[in-house]
Amino acid sequence: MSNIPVAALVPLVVVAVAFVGFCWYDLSRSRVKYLPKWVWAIICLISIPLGGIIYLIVGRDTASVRG
Amino acid sequence: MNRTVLRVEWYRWLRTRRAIALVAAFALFGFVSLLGAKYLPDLIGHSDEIQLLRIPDWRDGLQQYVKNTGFLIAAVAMILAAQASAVRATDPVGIYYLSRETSPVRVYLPRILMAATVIAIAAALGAAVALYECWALFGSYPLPAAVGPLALQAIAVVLVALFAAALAARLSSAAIAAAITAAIYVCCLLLSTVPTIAPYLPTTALQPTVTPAFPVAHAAKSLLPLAISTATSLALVLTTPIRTIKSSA
Repeated sequence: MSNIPVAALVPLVVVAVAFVGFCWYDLSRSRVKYLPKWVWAIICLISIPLGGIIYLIVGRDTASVRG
Repeated sequence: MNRTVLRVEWYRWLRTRRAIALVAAFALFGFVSLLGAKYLPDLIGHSDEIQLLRIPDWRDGLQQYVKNTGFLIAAVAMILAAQASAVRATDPVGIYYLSRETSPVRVYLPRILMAATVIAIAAALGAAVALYECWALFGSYPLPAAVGPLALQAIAVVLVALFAAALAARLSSAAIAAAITAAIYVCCLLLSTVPTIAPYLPTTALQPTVTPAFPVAHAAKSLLPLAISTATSLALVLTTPIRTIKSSA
């Protein structure tokens, strides 16, 4: 495990951090459904990427933009 | 078709964060699946009771990506396409459309087209990430043999999403469309145990086997029934006139 190539690991870390960061930024600016914001924040962090995906699809209150 | 309508649909994908969720799902699974395939044996291989039959190679890495995306991310794409294509008579925008428009092409086609475009772009991005990660982890590999199953799977994901989108547009409900598509998927999984039927099922196209030589004939076999059913559902939704909401006055 210790010999994971940098070329394989760095893009994953960058994309994962950027995705969680985006989810938290979005969380701070949006209304949420079903769970409190702090619970969604933890879900986004502990389950990458599924937590963030579930928050973006299910957790955001998008009634005004749904169409 | 009016270009402004397509732009509106694109903004809906952005503002609802559907596009970002989908792209992130494909990209992150592109990284994680291959890392898992490469290093999972390191995590479990030190047990006396478990012995590795062989060291994982590029086929195992891409097979893991194809397995994960063919099930989990295909489900996400299908749900998002259904959400984006259903016009609900309870939403303000839905009431606006359904009370003024009778042509299904003008209402549904931009939604369905944009859903297909976004999912195709996300799938292509995920495939590119998987190919890069495969090179970074396993070294060089035959590119045509690797691209074949990824392309087949991407097309299958788009077709399944289009099928769900057409159902959602026809039924005006994303949840019912997703449930019907999921039920069909489960039926196909059960049928895939029959060897004579398995090559023709959408599940085969969603999770193709990664082999050193990509079998084009097998790919066409698995894709054709899915393409026919998707085209039929699209034709049905785009030719059935919308029953507009009538005012009581």
